[in-house]
Amino acid sequence: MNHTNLFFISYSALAFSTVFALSLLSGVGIDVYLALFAIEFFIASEVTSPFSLFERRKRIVVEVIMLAIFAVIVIQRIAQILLEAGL
Amino acid sequence: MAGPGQGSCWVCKADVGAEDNYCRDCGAELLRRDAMPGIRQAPVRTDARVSVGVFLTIVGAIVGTLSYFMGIVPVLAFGLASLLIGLMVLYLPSSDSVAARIAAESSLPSLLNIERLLEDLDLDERGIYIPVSGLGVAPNVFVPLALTPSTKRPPLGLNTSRRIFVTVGKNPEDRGILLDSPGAGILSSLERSLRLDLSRVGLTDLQGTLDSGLRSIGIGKVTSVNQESTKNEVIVEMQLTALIDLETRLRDSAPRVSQQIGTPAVSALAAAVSKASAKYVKLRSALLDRANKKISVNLQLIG
Repeated sequence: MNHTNLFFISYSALAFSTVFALSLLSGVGIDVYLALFAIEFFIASEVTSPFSLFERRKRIVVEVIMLAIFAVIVIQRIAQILLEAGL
Repeated sequence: MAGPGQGSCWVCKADVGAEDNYCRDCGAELLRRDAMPGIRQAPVRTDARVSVGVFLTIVGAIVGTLSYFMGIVPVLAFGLASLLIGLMVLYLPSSDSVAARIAAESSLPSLLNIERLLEDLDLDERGIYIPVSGLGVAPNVFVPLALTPSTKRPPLGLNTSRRIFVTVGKNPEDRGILLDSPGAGILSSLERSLRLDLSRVGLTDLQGTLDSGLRSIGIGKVTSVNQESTKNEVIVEMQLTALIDLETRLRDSAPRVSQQIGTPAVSALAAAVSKASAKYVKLRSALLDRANKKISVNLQLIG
């Protein structure tokens, strides 16, 4: 099995098991799912190395998008906590 | 390859006219699909990955949109996961190494040179793999000018010869050319990865050994090795996971090499059988099932 296929299988397993696990809990927002999807992408990507040396640009594009999603969610949460605290 | 009308040369890509039989720039003979019924165009095959990617993207978008309006968060998350994975499947290329592709492309000109050599010397006989032993050592191929008792079983010492044009008997017909087998690199890598000299493996154990060796170097898997002792024949079936483009291109552009000596993958199998059986081996046929990426190789053992 090549590295790209291994990446897709492991990432799909992680993402869909997250959906299943979090669906059992009540009151979990979509931002939690998205943050976990982003983290799982980095885990699966590091473990399986789907990008060859020649695909650096593609790697950077996907990583920046994932990092942006994660950063937006974290900033939003921090802002929410700060607003609730009345700061 | 030049098409039925105006086209381009398959070697130098220069424009060629509808009536041209040879390229005006490089002199290469133009292969015309309409004039060669044996050469068929590969059917347009939809990549399975693209289908999976499109399916996941569409399902993800539909499920995500509907669940967003219905306010069902777990289903929305499921839709987003599908959409995300689908987009990645479409965006990321297959991980066939670019270096491997370049290596395969680099071997093409040398095989085309052998094709021209066979054509210019008008050699129509099939190549004979000369048995050899030693870890990482591949048999040489002797292509005789004509089949005579001497050329049927060329001397084993030819494996150490560095000459191209060799004479193996007293008669003028007992001549031919001696080549490194096109699959020498594959066989050598296979033996080194297994740390095993195939001349120490019998034909009965060859299937398992070849299968694990070819899997370990990422070229394919051997599904069966059948020996028909009554016909002195060995049939090897293999499924390719790499080198499919090279295999297809060689069959189209170097038919003599493909039929008389074998493409690199086929040649590696012939060389492996020659080493394992310690017999001269001649390629009878090598049929490629492009849809299933399978090759069925029929080899004749010359005792």
